[in-house]
Amino acid sequence: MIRESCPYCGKMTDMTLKKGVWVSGTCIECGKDLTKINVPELTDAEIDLKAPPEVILP
Amino acid sequence: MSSQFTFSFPGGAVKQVVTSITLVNATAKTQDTTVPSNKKWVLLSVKAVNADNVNRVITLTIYKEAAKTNVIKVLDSASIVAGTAMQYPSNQSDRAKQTNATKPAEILTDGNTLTAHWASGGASAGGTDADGLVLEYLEVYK
Repeated sequence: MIRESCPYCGKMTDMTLKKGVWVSGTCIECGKDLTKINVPELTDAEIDLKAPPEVILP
Repeated sequence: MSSQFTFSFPGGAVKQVVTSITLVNATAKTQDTTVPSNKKWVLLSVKAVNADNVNRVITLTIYKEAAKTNVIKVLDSASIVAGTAMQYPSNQSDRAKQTNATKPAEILTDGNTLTAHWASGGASAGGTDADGLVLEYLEVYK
């Protein structure tokens, strides 16, 4: 059983398993759709794997 | 007759449970994971990400039951830099890497609840991470 706190009402609500990842759903206490919360997404910094121009490859 | 030292590892399924975590401006967040009935977990590691743009204190706690009436222990609690993760177990001051792997690992029984709590960090942009909480454990039958 996996639950999370709802930022609207402060109560705990169930999470949903989608494609192998537990995600937010609709709060069972206040009915708010937690998937609609709009905040920045944390993404991993992209690493450039290509050699820089000054590097002469064989 | 020579003596023999035997070290045995529990069997069961290897689980890596991924949970998306969304943090909201100036709002604390709690996520609970309860061990199902008739199961025991051998907890190997926990990764909890601070997806916000301000530092937040992250606390990992084990309770005896889903109602969280009795605290078994606090696994870890530290201020985590914005955009970085707490990794348990760790003996690093910044908790950014799992080190000091415990042998034997934490053992949880059915009904135990592992709680990850992100304290409010004050005014912030908030943030979400698709793999904001990852639990790694062996699941064995009771």
